[in-house]
Amino acid sequence: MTASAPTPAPTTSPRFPPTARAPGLPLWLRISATVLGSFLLAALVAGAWIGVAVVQLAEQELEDSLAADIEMLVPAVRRGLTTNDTELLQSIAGGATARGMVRLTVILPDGEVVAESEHRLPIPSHRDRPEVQDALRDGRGRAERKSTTTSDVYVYVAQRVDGADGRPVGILRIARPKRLVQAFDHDVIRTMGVAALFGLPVAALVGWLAARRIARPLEEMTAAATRMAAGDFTHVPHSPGVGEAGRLGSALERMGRELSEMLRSREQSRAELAAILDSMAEGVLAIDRDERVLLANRAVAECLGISAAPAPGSLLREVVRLPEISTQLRRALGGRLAPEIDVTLPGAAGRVLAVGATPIGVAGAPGDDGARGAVLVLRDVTVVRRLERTRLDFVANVSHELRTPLAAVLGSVETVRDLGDEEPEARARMLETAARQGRRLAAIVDDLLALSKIETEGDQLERGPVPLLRGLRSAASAVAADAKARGVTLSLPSPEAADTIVLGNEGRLEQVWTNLLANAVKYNRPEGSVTVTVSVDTARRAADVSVADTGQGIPAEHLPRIFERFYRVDKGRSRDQGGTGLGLAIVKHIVVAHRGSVHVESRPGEGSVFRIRLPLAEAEPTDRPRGAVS
Amino acid sequence: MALRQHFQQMLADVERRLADEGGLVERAVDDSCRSLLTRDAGLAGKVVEGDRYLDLMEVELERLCLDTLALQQPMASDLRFLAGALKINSDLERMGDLACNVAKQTWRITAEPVPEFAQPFQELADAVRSMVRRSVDALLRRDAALARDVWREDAGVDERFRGMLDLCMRLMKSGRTGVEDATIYVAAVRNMERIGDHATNIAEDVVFIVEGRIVRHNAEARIAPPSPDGV
Repeated sequence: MTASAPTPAPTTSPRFPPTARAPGLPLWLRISATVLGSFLLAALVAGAWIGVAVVQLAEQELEDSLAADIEMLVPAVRRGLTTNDTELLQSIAGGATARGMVRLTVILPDGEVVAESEHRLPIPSHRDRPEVQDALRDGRGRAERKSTTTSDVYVYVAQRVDGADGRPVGILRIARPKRLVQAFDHDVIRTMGVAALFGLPVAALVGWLAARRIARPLEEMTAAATRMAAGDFTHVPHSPGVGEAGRLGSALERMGRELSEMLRSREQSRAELAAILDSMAEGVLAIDRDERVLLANRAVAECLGISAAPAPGSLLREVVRLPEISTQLRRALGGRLAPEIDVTLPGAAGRVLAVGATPIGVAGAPGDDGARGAVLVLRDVTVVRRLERTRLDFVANVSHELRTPLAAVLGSVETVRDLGDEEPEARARMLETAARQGRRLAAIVDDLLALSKIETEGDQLERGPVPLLRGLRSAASAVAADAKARGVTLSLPSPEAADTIVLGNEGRLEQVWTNLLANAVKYNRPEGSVTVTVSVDTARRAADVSVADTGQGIPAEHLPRIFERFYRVDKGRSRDQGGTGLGLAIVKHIVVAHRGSVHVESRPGEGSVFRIRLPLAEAEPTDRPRGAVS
Repeated sequence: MALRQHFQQMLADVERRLADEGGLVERAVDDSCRSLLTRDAGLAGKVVEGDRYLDLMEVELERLCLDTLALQQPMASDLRFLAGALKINSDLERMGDLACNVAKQTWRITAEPVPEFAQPFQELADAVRSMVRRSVDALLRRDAALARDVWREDAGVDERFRGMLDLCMRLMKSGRTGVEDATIYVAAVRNMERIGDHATNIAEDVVFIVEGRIVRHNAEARIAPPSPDGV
């Protein structure tokens, strides 16, 4: 089952397939085939037309020459017929044959043949021949038929020969075999065929060249367009040819360039956006109406403690189901701004996220309620909340710590006042208590002021070369009386050893040593020992001071917190011993201000070791700019 | 077509509500554990409040499932999904009650739990929460293999549970904690373990939805996916 959209998603199926049509024959072949075909058709039509015209012309020529022959012969034939001179007529016929007139026949009006060039007389009556009939009636007759005597097709032309009185005396007929004309026709056709045969390859070549000329740029552009469609803009065609193809090519080239530029800039801005989003410390999640992830940056994974940011398209509930985040998301999807709320992530770590949600693209379209989506911003505020907590705790602790001695002072003083002159011993005890608690109060206030001063100074702490041993020795003498009272032996590095010079503030460092040694003495067992050693890490340009005691040690669960202000391992005892609860906090703050570090190791029952690492002073006794000292 | 789309939307809605309930249960498991270990009465109150909300959601979701069954008369996998959703719904509600029980111990306990108890209890709660999370993941992804993983996880949770009962006994005997608090520990551990059992129920329903087989009382089928020849 998939979540269906409230509004039907636009169909993404391509309405047009990527390749519009099967390519079939290449364009150049189709063009040249067309050219060749048209050439053949034209040749055929022209050939046929010319052939017919030539044949008609030849036939006309033939008839005309026959007519001319007849005109020439008519007077002689007329004379022969009127004088009934068959000899003359026969000789005319013979002469005509000799002159190439082929066949000459002289026919009387009744159809009797009186002279004939080809055949011997007598010849059957020619009265029924159509040309003779026509000649008798109209003066001139013409026919074309297969001769009964010879097997050739002849063209006959007959002329009526009139006597002096106007009556027909006979008919002169000349015939020529059509074979002569046909032979000429065949000649013409053959010549034309040969011409066509030679013309064909030429036409094919011309057609092919023309086709290539048209088709090649088109093919190139097609290939380029196909590549562009596939997203490859490396082979944008450079304006091929002239005319329409050229214009199309240059348009395509321009389009390709602009498209690739557009895609490139889009890709670049997308990459920039992704880079910006990924470099953000806040997790950014864009969610659509179906609660699917549109976009998620890298920080999302870190904030939610998952291996990878959710892939676009996945449902948010498959990734995170924190009820508070769902609530924020729904609110934003409902079109309302969801201001940041704190969400504690499950698990022992107790990480806290501030989660805000903003609706995106509230559509104004009717019937479209709510937002098109929402942007969730996740901010890891674990540290911020912890700091806030610490500050709140600090204020509460300070009040409490100040109140306790104050209550004792007030109580004592009031008791003394009420006692009046009675019970001087009790009065003295009370005053002593008031004085002791007053000192404690003063010590706490001093320490608080020192701490606040150290915090304010921070990096501006004035530093210079400080010999370590001098400070350690003066601190040792400060706690010497206390140590003696408890029978604790203090051992410092031997004075003969070359003194180590660190970069620091002498007064502050002495405070560190005093606090550490005082603690080491205070929480030591009777007859215990405190050992201070100094070593130098030349590679790191640092000096390590360790203060080891033989006291009861610190339980492991307290170790991470002993540098916090007012944190006490054993609440009752350390207060009894006069501690302010700020000693180690001061140590830590001073060492951090020196860009050093402090560590503690402890084994319950065996003792604790505090290790302080401080930067060594450089050869020249000046405070170097920040960064030069490491 | 519109009807079909409407139906799909209803199914998506059922799924979304189940996921929301799963998120609430996860939150309840974590908060109840934290409230007990830090004696945070306010947080315990929040868990109880959240459980009330979960109860309302359960009723609403049940109605939605029944409506969908009645109006759409689904077939095959859709029918299995809705039948499974009904059962998962009541499982999740029950898990919320159990988390609520753990949270309520916060008000009865007399001292902050000792570290020997606190750490393994936090681990137990994390393991149970992971089961809840993964069983709902299996449902959303229709992933029978993941559901089977949840069963395997349950074995680990049961082992932790037994170890913690022993621990409570030892704490009581040694006098490290009072008898009152020790019984509260036992109650909290037992409730937590029961939440894990309900997560395995969900996993079984997921297998039913995906494969159409009821594997509740069949140890073999619980472990092995159906063989390809269908035997």
